[in-house]
Amino acid sequence: MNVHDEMSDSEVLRTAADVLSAIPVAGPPDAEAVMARGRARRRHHRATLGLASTTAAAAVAISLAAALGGSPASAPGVGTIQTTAFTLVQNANGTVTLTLTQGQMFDPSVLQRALARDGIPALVKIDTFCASYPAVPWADARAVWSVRLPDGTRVPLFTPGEHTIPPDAVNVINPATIPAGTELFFDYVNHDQTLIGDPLIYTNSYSCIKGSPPGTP
Amino acid sequence: MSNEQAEFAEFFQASWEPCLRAVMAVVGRSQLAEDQVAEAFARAWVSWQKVRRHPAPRAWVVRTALNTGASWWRKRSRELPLAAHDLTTPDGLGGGLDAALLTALGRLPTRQREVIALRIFLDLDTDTIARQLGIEAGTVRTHLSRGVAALRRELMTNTTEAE
Repeated sequence: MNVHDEMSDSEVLRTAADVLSAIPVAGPPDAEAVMARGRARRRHHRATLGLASTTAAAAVAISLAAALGGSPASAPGVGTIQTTAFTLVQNANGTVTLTLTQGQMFDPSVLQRALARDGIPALVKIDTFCASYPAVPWADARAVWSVRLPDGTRVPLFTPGEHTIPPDAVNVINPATIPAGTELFFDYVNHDQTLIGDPLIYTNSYSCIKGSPPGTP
Repeated sequence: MSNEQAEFAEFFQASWEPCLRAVMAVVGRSQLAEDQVAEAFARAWVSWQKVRRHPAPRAWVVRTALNTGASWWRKRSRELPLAAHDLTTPDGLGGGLDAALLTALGRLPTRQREVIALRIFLDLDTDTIARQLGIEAGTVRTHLSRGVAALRRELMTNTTEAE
């Protein structure tokens, strides 16, 4: 009988571990780079969500005020605010519907001011991803921002996996549910003219990274 | 760096090598394994609130890395089984026994390699491996037993030939 007939399972596994452990492997990359990759991944995911909801803009049939390119066209708190790039509609239940008009020049400061006039604290950027760590709880974000069909049905966004947004869906914001100390964050991606809703950040605690989502030229 | 970032960075530094070796033992290619593990850690950071409370966070990373690889392969029209020659013996690593064992490992079915990798690099018990792979504990024991038996045969054969 060969001596190896008597090798126990643990001895075999230990031998395998020794052999595999002797193979040189690369050291870990920088942890910051891995975290940045994760943030970019989140952003890319949201870009996927945002693309469909933005293309829905043209499908929203609403009564529009005069269209102006540089500044919101309506008085504070009054019905509809429209520019060439976006439209904000105050709904009877206190929520606000936001849509973008694809293909128009987008000025983040104009949208930010328009949201503020409707009582919505927000940070709006172009090609910049901002987030708080730790993040604002999803439950809070879910209460504030949603993507809905014309009949009011909520499109699920806060579950794992990729989602297909129906072309007639719109962004709906509920200002009354925004927790104190937080604000909405939107990132407009120039490459595909997409407004990404990354629902809430802590007003006094967030960081931003510049750049387009991975996978875009 | 926030406390959460520091916590993740500490986990990442301590877990990179065992996770990478476990994935490498399954996929056989070091570069592919590095890519998959890096992606898995990036996803771990995205879901850190969940992963940090996971009973076996390293296993979560390995499982995610292997699923990443599976997704990558599923996108290709032709999925090829891992060939024995994919597990190469790097320069500087002894031939003979080492090469024979790597070859034997490469010949094992994927599930057997996964079970062995999780056992020897993450030191997981049978029940935890079963939960991570979504299979019964008895199935884990069967895979482990068959995999170890195959490796033992290779070790025996190699030693006999050397004598």
